[in-house]
Amino acid sequence: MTGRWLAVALILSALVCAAVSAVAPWPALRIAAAVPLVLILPGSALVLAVDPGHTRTIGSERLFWCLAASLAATVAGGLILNMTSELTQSTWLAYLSGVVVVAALASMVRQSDGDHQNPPKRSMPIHVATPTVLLGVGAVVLVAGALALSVYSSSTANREHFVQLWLVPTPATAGANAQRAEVGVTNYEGRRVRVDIDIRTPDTVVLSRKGIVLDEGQTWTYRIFRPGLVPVTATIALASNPSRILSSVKLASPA
Amino acid sequence: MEPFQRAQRLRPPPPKYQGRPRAVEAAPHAIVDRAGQGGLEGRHGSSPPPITLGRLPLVAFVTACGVMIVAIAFAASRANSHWAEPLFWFGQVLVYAGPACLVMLRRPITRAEALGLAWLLPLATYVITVAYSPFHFIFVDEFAHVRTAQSILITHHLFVNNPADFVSPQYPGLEIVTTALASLAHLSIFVSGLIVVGVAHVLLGLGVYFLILEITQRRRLAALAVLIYATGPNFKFFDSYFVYEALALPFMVACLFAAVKMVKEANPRLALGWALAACFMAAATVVTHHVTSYFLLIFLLVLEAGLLLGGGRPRHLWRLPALTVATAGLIVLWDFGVASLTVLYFSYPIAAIVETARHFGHGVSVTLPRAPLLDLALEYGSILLLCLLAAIGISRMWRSRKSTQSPLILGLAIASLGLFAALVFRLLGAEGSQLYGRATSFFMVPVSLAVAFTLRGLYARRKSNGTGMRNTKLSMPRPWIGVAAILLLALGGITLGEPPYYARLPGSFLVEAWERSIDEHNLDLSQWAAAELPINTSISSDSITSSLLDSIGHQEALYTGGGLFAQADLTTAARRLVSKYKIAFVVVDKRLAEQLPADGFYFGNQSSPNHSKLPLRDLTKFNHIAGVSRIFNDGTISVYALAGSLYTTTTRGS
Repeated sequence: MTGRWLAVALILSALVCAAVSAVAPWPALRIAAAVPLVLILPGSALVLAVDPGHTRTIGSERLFWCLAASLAATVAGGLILNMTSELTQSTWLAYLSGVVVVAALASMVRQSDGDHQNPPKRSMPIHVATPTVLLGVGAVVLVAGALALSVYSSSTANREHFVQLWLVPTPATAGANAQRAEVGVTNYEGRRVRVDIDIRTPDTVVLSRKGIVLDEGQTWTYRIFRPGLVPVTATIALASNPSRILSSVKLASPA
Repeated sequence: MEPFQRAQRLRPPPPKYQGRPRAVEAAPHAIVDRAGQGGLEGRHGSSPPPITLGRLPLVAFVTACGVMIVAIAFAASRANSHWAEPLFWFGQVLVYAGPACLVMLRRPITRAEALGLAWLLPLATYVITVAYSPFHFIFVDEFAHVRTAQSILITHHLFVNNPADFVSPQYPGLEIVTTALASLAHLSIFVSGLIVVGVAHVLLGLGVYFLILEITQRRRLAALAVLIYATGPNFKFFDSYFVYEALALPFMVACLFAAVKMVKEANPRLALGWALAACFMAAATVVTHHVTSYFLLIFLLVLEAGLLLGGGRPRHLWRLPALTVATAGLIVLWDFGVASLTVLYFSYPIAAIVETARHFGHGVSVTLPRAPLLDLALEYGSILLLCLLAAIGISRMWRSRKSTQSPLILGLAIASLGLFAALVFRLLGAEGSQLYGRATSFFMVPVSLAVAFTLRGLYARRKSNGTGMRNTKLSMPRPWIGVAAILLLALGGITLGEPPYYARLPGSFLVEAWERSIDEHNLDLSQWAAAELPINTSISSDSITSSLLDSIGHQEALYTGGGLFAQADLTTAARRLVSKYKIAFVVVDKRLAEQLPADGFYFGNQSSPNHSKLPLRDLTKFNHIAGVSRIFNDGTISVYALAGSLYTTTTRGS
């Protein structure tokens, strides 16, 4: 691909990536568009603008400069956007695609002056034997397997399973002097659980609710009012074993 | 005539393709022979040699086996298996053995093999870092940067105050790129950070390779230098963490690479292009990390010194000083104009080092937990070996100063002396040791070349059989000594770097054990605090939990040396502490009573280490003190509110 066509391809790629990351509903598509837009395209366009004829950097060295320039251009963009507007999705899209378009156009202009002709094309024969392919594929499979094993063992072997229970005064810094509070439960058991919650003062049962169903990560809250600043306690137990208290919290009376 | 131009005239004609893959080491004077950079031969009209991967696939496979074995060791450690540790070491040996054997034993080494190592080593070490903790960050410093990134995503602006690390928002390079990716891809900060740091880590390996290749024009030496650099204490873990130097390091190396290109370039227009590239990378370095920018300036100065001492008087001697002045100007502008807290930030460690140095040799010492004997042996053995190899290498670099590449090599030789300066710091106790560890990321760049200069004397060589032909018998066992030296450096680097020995393998929670002290309990607590408690409220807790509450909890954790915890009852001193620092909440992890702290200290700012476990009654006393409310409990961690309790009232007290 000649430098001119490469510049056109970069512009189109940047615009497509920007559009996709702005509107695509699928996360995988957004990621596939955003990663090159941030990490590859700006630097590629800048390097093409500086060296449109591929005479100074080629191969892996050019890739190195493309990635490094992309990162540096993004850092510069953060500072520019911070000064001129703000760092949001829309400003990032405008900045990054703008850098690519301007740099690619600059490379086209530089190409037209005739000093930056592409080197003559030549074919580079690649000798790849079957064992080479097998070893390469084996290496990739092993690395992928290592990551998969780590994900599996990390998510199963040492994962802590628990339920958070809290009784936060309102305002939180009022402590024992608060008349209002919020009771909350968050499930981190790693599975859906059914819990029983009891909220009591020394004399009365404020709330006793059985069988609250909470999915993993789901939170349940309840607001209470305590006239006279009486102590309030809240306890939680699994509905399957209500006699074993998992956690208890207490809002004390002022000392 | 300047050395580089002289060398250009001495360049031999490009070798013709002889019908079989052949990689030739560049001749000593072949300054612009781009051996190893690929592709330029074609411009001279010769037939292009075929791209041959050589033994690279085999080395990649062996390295991948090492990565897999380390992952198995991690899984075994999570299952509390006793064979996890030996398996880990075996895996690490495999990771480095393949590349070491390729560089030391194989002759010749092809372009693909040399360049492949520069890709392979960062990738392998990064996969190991990810495998350690695939779901969340694990190092406390990372969480400070997470808070900076969170602030950018919330406020859409930079430089928002961060009590967890007040200087972090003033060097926002890493967070800018991470949040840009997070904004566009709708990824979490963790996943975005993994991608950005992963790319930066690979760039670092490639950058070191291209830098050394540009200076020496020897691909094998460059590959060996990358391998040596990868054995450094920080390359394996710390430089892959979500911390600002992870991104600043490749910027620094890219700047040096562009600077070398600029110095060597005969065409003024092209030299100007490289100068602009170097300035761009220098600016990115300055914005991203303070210490890295200072090391960049030092490296530019020593390269300049090398040019001056190298004997040649290049016509373009002003180029490097101009770049150095520009870099210094950028640093001054940023550090005094924007990052105004930098001076304050450095005042603490400098004061600590001065204090340690003042008391050096006067019996002021604390007894910290001792590392296992194997660790100590590897640690000291690798440091001694590194010093020895670097010293020999530096002397060889000095002796070769008459060669055409000497000015730049001489510059790196001078920079290598930083190793010995850093060792002096290491003798100054814990602060010095930490400084030495952090500095290795930087001085290992020139030191890797110095060590490579030494080890190249051990390369496998073909022996002449007296008939003018060369047979393939290798001169043993010298190359194997080189392989063994590289492996010792690699294993020693593991013991010197992060994580410390007690957290080297992942597993169940350990008290105050850095990476092993981050688990779902304190992570979810911190997220709860960020959601439920007022921002920047004063909180007291143990050291690691405080760090997490400080960063992702968005609170202001106080490191009060355990003043609220180490008594069985309410004391006047504790009340004074609460009053003085306006402590609103106390966070108690009951596991503190079950284990001794792995790093010696339960709490931040403790004057002496703990040699006995905290009594449980010291931790549970808050349940019985009048007015103290237990507002959070997950079965392991409790949060107590002190407002309205005897800690804050003045009518009663013990």
